[in-house]
Amino acid sequence: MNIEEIRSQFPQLKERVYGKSLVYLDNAATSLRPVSVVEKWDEISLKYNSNLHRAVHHTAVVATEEYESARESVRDFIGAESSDEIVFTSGTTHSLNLLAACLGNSLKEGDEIIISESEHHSNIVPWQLLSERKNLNIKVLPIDDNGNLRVDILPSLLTEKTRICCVAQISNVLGIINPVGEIIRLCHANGTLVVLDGAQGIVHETTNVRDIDCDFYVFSAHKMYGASGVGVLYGKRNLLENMPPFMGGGEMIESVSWTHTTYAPIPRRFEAGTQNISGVPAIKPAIEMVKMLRDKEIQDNYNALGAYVYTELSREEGVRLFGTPSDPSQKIPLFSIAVEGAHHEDLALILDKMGIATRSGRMCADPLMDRLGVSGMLRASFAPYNTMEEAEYFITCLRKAIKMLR
Amino acid sequence: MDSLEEAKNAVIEEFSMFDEWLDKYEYLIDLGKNLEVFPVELKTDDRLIKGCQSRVWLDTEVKNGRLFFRADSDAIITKGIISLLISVYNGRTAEEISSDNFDFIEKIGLRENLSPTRANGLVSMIQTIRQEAGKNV
Repeated sequence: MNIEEIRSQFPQLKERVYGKSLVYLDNAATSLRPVSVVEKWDEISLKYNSNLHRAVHHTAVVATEEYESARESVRDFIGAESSDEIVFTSGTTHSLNLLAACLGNSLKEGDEIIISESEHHSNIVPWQLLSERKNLNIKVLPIDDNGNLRVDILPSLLTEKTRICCVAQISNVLGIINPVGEIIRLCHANGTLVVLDGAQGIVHETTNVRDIDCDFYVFSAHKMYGASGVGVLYGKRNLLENMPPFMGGGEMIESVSWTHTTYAPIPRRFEAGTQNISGVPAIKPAIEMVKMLRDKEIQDNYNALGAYVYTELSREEGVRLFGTPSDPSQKIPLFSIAVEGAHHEDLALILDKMGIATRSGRMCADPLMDRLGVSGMLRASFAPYNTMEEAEYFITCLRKAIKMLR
Repeated sequence: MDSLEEAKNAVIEEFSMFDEWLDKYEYLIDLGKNLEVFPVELKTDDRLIKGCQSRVWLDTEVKNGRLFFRADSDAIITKGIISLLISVYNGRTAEEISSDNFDFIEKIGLRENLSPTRANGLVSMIQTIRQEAGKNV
């Protein structure tokens, strides 16, 4: 498949900023939306907007079918056993907060949670809030200087009190594909549950939750070409069934009385209130796009531009590239750097004026910034619709920006 | 001393000479590099305006009803804008500052530098300048 065919499906790529073609390299924050996703959103919004799971009228039936068929698409996409195991949320952060609140309900004082050092705040703070409520201990699974998780010391962190281990499939700062299979194997041997943050992983990795045997897997639609405000929580059936509800109200109940309220079965027990009527069905075309972008020609281009940027940044004077696994195939085209004599905010402002959208700052990962000894970073995160020309333009502009600032 | 309005207009006029953003940024970078050195002992936590992106330190002194600012940042473009702010607002009375709308930053085409993100130390700096003025009215 030709990259221009793909690009034509993402109209935002034709936008111009300050008179220059937009070069969008902030895909790890939010990816662009293809026409198919917007069309599905429009179709539901303009023709079938009505509340789900309640009314018997035709419009509501169609809207509910669209919503439930999206659940089936997600099930199929991640290889879950049953669509009952797919809970729709507003995003990864919501999914993780739900888990911390509901899974955390059964934890007792002194229980331990392991969190990797390279986690996003969304996979840290909900567990800290839980720890404060329940007097738990949080242990950190460290990284080495190259950003690799120290899985070798994981066994020494696991004790009989370790109940949960939280780790990202791919770090949003380092771009390293973590050895989640090994982590899950070690944790399960210890009776520890594993919560896998797939926010970055869902779009890059082909993930089968049953093959990797993770207990929970969470991700957002807006980082995989879908709508914002849509997220997924996958959990193994027996685990979800044993969790109490998160929020109350809406269709999460079975019956309500002043003395005894009972709750709906999973997954609706966790879907309180009116759901994202147009956004959830739009995850179907988003999944189709993820699959389409796994085309060989597209992936070859993606890998080639990743290798090019990696090489150029690695040999650039005064540029520190974070996340450098010994096997380069374990890094996705996501590059966070710190530049000697040039502040990340200045670099991002200058690149912006050149038409390049990057991310600067602390990437919602303060502990990792502290570990690596930087106040922030500049991040360029590529998607399969980016071209080699854009990668070359980025490197050229970065050099110019550095020169201006030094 | 020029009036506050005159000082603002002088900056706006200065910037109107630049057609290109590149020249504008180069000018700001230059201003940033030449900003009066901020004493290291003043880089305390209570003077630090934290942001996700750039950090800004601001020190305010009140002399005879007039406010005097010294500031620093780890980002150079922000430092350049700090230099502009100081040149415009230094030595003004609390009344003058608190009744001003700080619109000249937008007028010189630096809107992006003032995006309302949590990240932005500069926005917080302007708020802090206003608060300091407010306290002294």
